Amino acid sequence: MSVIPLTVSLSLGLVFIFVALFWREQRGRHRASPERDSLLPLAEEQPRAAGHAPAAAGCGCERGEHPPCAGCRRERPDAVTTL
Amino acid sequence: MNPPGQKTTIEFNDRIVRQFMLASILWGAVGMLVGVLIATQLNFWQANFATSFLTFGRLRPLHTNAVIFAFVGNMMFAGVYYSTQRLVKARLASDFLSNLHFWGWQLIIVAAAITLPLGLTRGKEYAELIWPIDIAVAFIWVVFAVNFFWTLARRNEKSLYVAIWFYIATIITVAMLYIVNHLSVPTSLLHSYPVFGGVQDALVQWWYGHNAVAFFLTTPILGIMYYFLPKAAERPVYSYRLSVIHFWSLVFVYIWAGPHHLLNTALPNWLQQLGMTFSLMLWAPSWGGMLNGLLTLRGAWGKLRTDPVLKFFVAGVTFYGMSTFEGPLLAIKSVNALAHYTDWIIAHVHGGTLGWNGFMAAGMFYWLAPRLWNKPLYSTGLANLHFWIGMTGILLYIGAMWASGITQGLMLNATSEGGTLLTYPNFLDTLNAIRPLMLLRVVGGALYLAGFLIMIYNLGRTIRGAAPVNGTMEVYVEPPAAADRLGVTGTFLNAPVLFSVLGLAITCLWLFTSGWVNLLGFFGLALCVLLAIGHFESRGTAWGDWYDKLLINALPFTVLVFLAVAAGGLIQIIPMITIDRRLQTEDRVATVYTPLELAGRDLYVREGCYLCHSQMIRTLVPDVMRYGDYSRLGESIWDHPFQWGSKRNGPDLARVGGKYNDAWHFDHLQNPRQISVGSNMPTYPWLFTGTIDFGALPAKIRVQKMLGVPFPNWSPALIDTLARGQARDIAKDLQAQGRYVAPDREIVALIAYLQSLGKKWEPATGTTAASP
Repeated sequence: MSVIPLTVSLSLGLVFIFVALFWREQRGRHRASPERDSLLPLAEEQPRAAGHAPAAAGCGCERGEHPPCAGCRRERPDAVTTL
Repeated sequence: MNPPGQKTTIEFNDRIVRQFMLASILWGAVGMLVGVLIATQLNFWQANFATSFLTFGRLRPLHTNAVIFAFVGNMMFAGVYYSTQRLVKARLASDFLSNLHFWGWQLIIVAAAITLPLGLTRGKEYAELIWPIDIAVAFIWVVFAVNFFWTLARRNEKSLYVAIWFYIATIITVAMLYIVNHLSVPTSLLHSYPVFGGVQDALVQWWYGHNAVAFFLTTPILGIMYYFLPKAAERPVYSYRLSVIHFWSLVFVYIWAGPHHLLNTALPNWLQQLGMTFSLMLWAPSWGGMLNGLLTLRGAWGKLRTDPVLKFFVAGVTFYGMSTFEGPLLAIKSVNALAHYTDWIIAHVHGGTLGWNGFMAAGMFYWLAPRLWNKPLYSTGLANLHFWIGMTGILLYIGAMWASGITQGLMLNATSEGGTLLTYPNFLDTLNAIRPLMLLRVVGGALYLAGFLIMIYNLGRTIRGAAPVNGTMEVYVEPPAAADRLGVTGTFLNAPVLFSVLGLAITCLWLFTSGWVNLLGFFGLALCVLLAIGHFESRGTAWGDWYDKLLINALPFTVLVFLAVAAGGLIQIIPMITIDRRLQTEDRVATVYTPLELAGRDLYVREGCYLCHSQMIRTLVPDVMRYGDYSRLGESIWDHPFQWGSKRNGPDLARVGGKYNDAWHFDHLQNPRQISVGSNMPTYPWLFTGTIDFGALPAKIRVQKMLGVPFPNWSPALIDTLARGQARDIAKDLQAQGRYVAPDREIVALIAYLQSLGKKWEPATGTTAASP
């Protein structure tokens, strides 16, 4: 048996399975699952001094009220990040 | 809303959490202090200070309202707001609504703290607040609901965690219960009559009262448990799937259990059976929840040695299990015959409130304070001291009340001479037998309060000098997926919902029919359950997929929760409030009060007499031997509000009318110990100086007529003449017996009312036979 076609076939098969599973995972990512949901309370968070600038400045992007605005991204790149 | 595909940092509104937490601690101390005072009053009548606004009947509602709505209410709001923001990864929707919620709620508490000692009350337990405050409560609750659901609508985490389910159930059910049970028609700015009367009022009241425990003191705290216990134990909840069963069975079953507060009374038997059956069914979901909480600590039990937060949580959840074991036990009719109206019920209630609510609150506060102020807890040793003092206090309290309740219950029911005589015919003998136990209750309560004060000191030292911080979290804004929307069809046309509806319909057929239809219902239910199991076994994935989808659809989820909790109430209450009241009389129908008796009745309500004296002689031999013929439904049908009572610190008064003369009541209210040596009843000197509000009577009678009470068409002038005439007669009668009082004094109206009890009825056949 030729090794190369076999390797290619198996590799393609694995790729296909990966793509199919990835597609399924992507489609289902908005669904709930008990395993994932049960971890929700354990999400990490960081403290920030109360009365911090964003509320006073009136910019809601740091409070998550609207998407990061250009001004905040420019002035405080560490505070608001965009993928 | 954030557009998809972006990561953003959210700063939570933890300021409101700090405010609610501090308010809870403050009001908790006040409420518990009042609790210790009224427990002391039951031992030492002098502690009433012969002062109207410090007397037991007025302070007891202050205690219950303060600990339920102020202490647990504020604690609940703190926990709900803290956990919801983190679980849905969104800041609270509106700072304005959050602040309005906080300050509005505190204003309501202050208003309650002023009006209740003044004797302004609706005369229904845990629903005493007068109508303007009720409207404020409903409004602020709506503010809370809008803020909460608005936050859900803006969430960045699509799936709703189990804690959120419990919060949703709390918000919609409390709104439903509160509004229905507080429906009233005002007679003045400060007074109203409930729209329901007699048995209807009793049923609605305990549908509310029982579920205030269920949906104000239990479900939100369960949500808090499902969030904070995994946080403290640093591991996920033991079984997320078990929490699904815990949630749906609990919210569906709980609402049916209200009638167990009225067992062996004149309430129709089908309702009593329903209340008892569903109470017993509550064992399973309650214990499912308790085990789910405790098993979350799998592998982390060692932390209990060092972490006071976990200590409080584990003890709190254990008390939840104990209380939810005891509740169904007490709902068995034969056990209830012994326990009802006694201190056993007080033990049960305080196992839940001190153990479950109080310890869960303490655990949450100890967990929150270091995180909300970014500073370690001042003293773990003091927190441990709080735990052990509190635990000792609870055990002393409930141990004493168990012993007290069972002792008094056995003594009250004891008979001799082959069951023909009561062994202890004098009620005071049974009271004096439990005095040492009542004193032990004071000690237990004081210890619990001492532990709470230690917590206040500990948290105060933790917070002092610390700068408050708000939590922040980086979240990924997910794109909305239209395909995941359930819609109306997806919400209702699926196997779990259809099987549930079908099962409930067939169960009703089984419960409410007889003969072959009843058999059909029984076998139909069995078939339905088998089909559901078969379908789940073969198509379980579809059930799971549907539920996963439901969890990202907040509105359909809320609708289904509402239907689940509304079903029980509708099936129990609708038949009772739609049927003509005259058909629910057994063989007696009440005659209306005279205007003076009505004025006296309102004074009876004002002084909270119903908190110590029942007006319901149960269908039990010892009750009938002690108090007279058992109470019929018809004898209280015109009573707005009903005054059946729930506790007998003193004897039942349903048939006290005519048992003693006017002078006896005069002396007894002036100084109960003149007549009843050893009595713990307060003195009521202000009734001898206060004047009867004759001017309010026309409005009161007009409202009662509007509510269906068959008062004659009296003019205001005639009402005044009748009231003053009867008052003069009573004053003259008192004078003849050597007691001198002006006829317009409140004592005269109260005597008129007391002398009418058990006398105001005629045969239900419509004949005009005189009273017995």
